[in-house]
This record gives sequence, C-alpha cells and structure tokens, in this order.
Amino acid sequence: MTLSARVRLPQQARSGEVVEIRTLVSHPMETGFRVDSFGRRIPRRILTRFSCRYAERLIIDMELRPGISANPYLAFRFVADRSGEIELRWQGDQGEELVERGHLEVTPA
Amino acid sequence: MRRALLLLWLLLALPGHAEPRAGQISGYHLLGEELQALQDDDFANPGMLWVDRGQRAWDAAAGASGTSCRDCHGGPERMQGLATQLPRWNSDQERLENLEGLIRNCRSARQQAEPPAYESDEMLALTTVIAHQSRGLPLAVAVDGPAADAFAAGRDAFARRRGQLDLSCADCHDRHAGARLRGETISAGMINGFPLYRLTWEGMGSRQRMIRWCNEAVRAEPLQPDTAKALALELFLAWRSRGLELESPAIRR
Amino acid sequence: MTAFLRRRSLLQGLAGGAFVLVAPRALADLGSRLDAALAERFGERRPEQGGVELELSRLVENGNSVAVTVRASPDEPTPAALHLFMPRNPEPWGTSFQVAPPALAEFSTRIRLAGTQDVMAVAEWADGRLGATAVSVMVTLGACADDLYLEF
Repeated sequence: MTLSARVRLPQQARSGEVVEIRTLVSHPMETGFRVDSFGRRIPRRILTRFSCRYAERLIIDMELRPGISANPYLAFRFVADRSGEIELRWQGDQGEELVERGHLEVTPA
Repeated sequence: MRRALLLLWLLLALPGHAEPRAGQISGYHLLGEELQALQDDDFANPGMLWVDRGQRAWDAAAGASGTSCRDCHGGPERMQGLATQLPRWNSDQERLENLEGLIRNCRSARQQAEPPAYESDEMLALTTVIAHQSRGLPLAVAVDGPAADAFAAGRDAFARRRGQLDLSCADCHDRHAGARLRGETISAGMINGFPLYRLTWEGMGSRQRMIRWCNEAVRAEPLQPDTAKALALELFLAWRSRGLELESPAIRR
Repeated sequence: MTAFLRRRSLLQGLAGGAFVLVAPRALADLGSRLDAALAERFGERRPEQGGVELELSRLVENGNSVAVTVRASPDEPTPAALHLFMPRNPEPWGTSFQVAPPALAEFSTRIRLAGTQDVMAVAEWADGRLGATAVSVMVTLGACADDLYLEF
C-alpha cells in the first residue's frame, strides 16, 4: 500500500493551550525477522524517522524501529505559543517520504 | 456488561440449540476493552486507512472507458445497504456474486479495466469503503428462490468435516463457540465485521481470506475465492450472521 | 515435625533449588539483552529507578499491536528524550522520541511484543541523567498456529 497518512491537527488554539496531534500512517513495518512460506527471509522495510516542526522549530524527532506496529500510530502534545505552520514528516528505509502540513492559528489567551 | 453478554451467549449456545440465531454474537464482544476502543475510534482504527484509500480509488478514472465509480454511481454513500445483502444470486451469470465479484464485474465490463486481484490493496480499499457505508445496518441476505440451492450447498460445506484435523466449521463455531482455545475464545463465526483489520495479519482481510485462514488452521485445502463452494459458504455464513450490525472496518485479533 | 511438613519443606527446598538453577540464567539472558540495548544507546550510563511513567495493559490480547503511552513524571524537568525497550523482542530497542519545547515529553503509540516481558521506558535528560520504569506485560497466545499464514 502506498504511503498515506491520517492526521488530526489543531487549527486554532489560545496561547498557552495544550493541543494534541494524532497520526496514523499506512506502512507494513516489515521487521526483517519473518520468513515467507518458502522459508525465505522477508527483507526489512520500516519507517525509520518521524519529525514534527512547529513554527520553524523542530519539536519532535522520533526514531522508529521494527518494534513499532504496522501502520504506525503516534499521538503527542505541545503548548500552542505562536501561530505558524505545522509540518509532519515520515521517512522510510527505502527512501520513501511523506509530508503533511497544516497551519495553527494562535490567539491571545 | 460484556461478562453478562458472554454468559447469556454461552447459555444460549449450549449443545442442543442447533438454531444458529441463539448463538449469535459479534466478535466485537470477544475483544478486550482496549481493542473495542480501537475499533470504536474512527481516527485510530487502522482499517480507516483503507476507507480513505477506497474513497480515492472510488474517484479515480480507470480503464479504456476513462470512467470512475463516481461517474456512474455518485458518491460511495450510494452503496449504503449493499454489503448487507451480499453475496446474492446473479441471474445473468447464474451464480452467486459477492462484493469482490461485483467490483470485478464492474471493472472489466463497464470500466474496461483490469479487475483488481482478490486481497489486493486496491480491492480491499474498494470493498472496505463500500462495506463501511452499511456500518450499523443489519446483515440480511436472501437465501430463498434462485439462491436456495447455493444456500443448501453452503450449509453442507459448514457442516462437512475437512482437513487433517477432521473438523467442520460447525465443530468449532457452533458446538464449541465460547470455549477457550489457548488464550483465545472460539468465536461464533459471525462475519459482520468484514472487511476487517486483523492484528494477526497486521492488515485488512476479506471474508474469503478468513475462510482460507480457518481452512489452513484445520490443515485443509483452502477454498479458493470465486468458486461456487466458497461463495456458497459465504452466503451461509452471512445468513448465520443475519441481523447483526455490519461493523466494517472491524478490529479482530 | 510431621512427615507432611518434612515433605513440604523438602518440596520447598527442591523448588527453591530449581529456581536458583534455572531462573538466574533466564533472567541473565533477558538482562544481558536489555543491557546490550542500553549500552548501545547510552554507553556506560545506566538509568536510576523512576522519573518516567509507562502506561500499558498488563494483559495483552495480541502482541502485534499494544497501545502504550510514555511520559516524563510531572515532578521532573522536561527530558530531552524518551526511549522504549522491549527486552524479549528480536530487537530490544523499540523507539527513541527526542522532544524539544514547546512539545510535552509524552507520546502514545502502538508496539509489538514478542511474548510476555518487562517493557521498559527510559527518560534521558540533557545533563545525561537517565530514569527508567518497567511494566510486566503478559501476552496471551492466539488460537491455532498464527505464524503459518503469511499468504492467506
């Protein structure tokens, strides 16, 4: 299945409010430890990195290993402190890359 | 609540109650709270990835005709109720037709495109988005009239022992439904969740994939999809599950 | 002392002996796998107890997808990274989550567990300090033989 993501991004928040990002991305996260029915090893194919930039700052940088489930789910939170772009980026060991962007508008508390 | 339901189900499913309606329980009620919550979460349920992808496939032009599903049918919501009635008798072809068969026919005859292979991501995306339109609706297949013979064949396939373990579907899913098998509770064999995301597969699968998986589990020759026998069994299973709400994309272990 | 009691103490002695003979080796194996994974990430440094919270079910229905939440303890300063280790997995290092303000030191994901084991979360602060919490998780086995079904 081609790389595709479901993301839930906050679009508006008050300054100082804690907001959540939820992500789900289609990827087999093939561990490289399994064999097929002919006994041949199925080569590893995983997402290796996820990052989140918010208003020009790298706030999350995550390394993924084969112990992460297929179709990886990730949720995290941050404090909305200024308006800016949110950029989510997944990178895989086959050179694949997926980027999702959104804008967060932050109003004074 | 779950405990009470299970107890009720076990009481009703005691030997002697051959009537399948008594032992009906969706596999959802055999899940722990964490997995029930996953199925109920329309964001995090991984099956929703296939619903998304199915929506895109629905809109994409395909084949020599250059048409998409949407061009003829409108939005996927127009398919509401369809998955609850399948498989059904196709009088032109004089055979049963399941959701995969309908899609393959449409693809080759109308769109003049290569039909998606069984269990391919494209097929699962389309079947999932279509079945999802019927979520919450009760399964209701027709088993009389021209479908009667196929239904009888399906009932026979369900009761017939097979494989090196010499077990029939009924041995486990009628007579021992609710019993423990290692860490698992044997299901009642209800197929109201398909296509569903199975953790064992780490992906989506159709009713026919589950039938083949079960065949293999009893060391039997797997029934090939799109054969009269496999479709007849699917019809019987859908009838056994009648009245249960369609859950696709369900989560199962 | 009655014969019964003598027999019981003998049994206890046997059981204790068996534990001494068998358990340390199994524990040492798991411990060395975890230790190797920790050494790979942290060199000579080893975590103290605490400073991080780990939420996951004690009893897991299927090891292919287990919901987990890791967060720094509320009374701690924000760490630079959170790590997850699954010592009995083929690869014990699960993930590393580098975090910078204004992000909170907290994430939820779904992990694979190759059997019953003690999952460990480690928080790493900028000054090099490490804190760890482990949770024992029991993974139940499914019916039938699941590993045969790659093609179906």
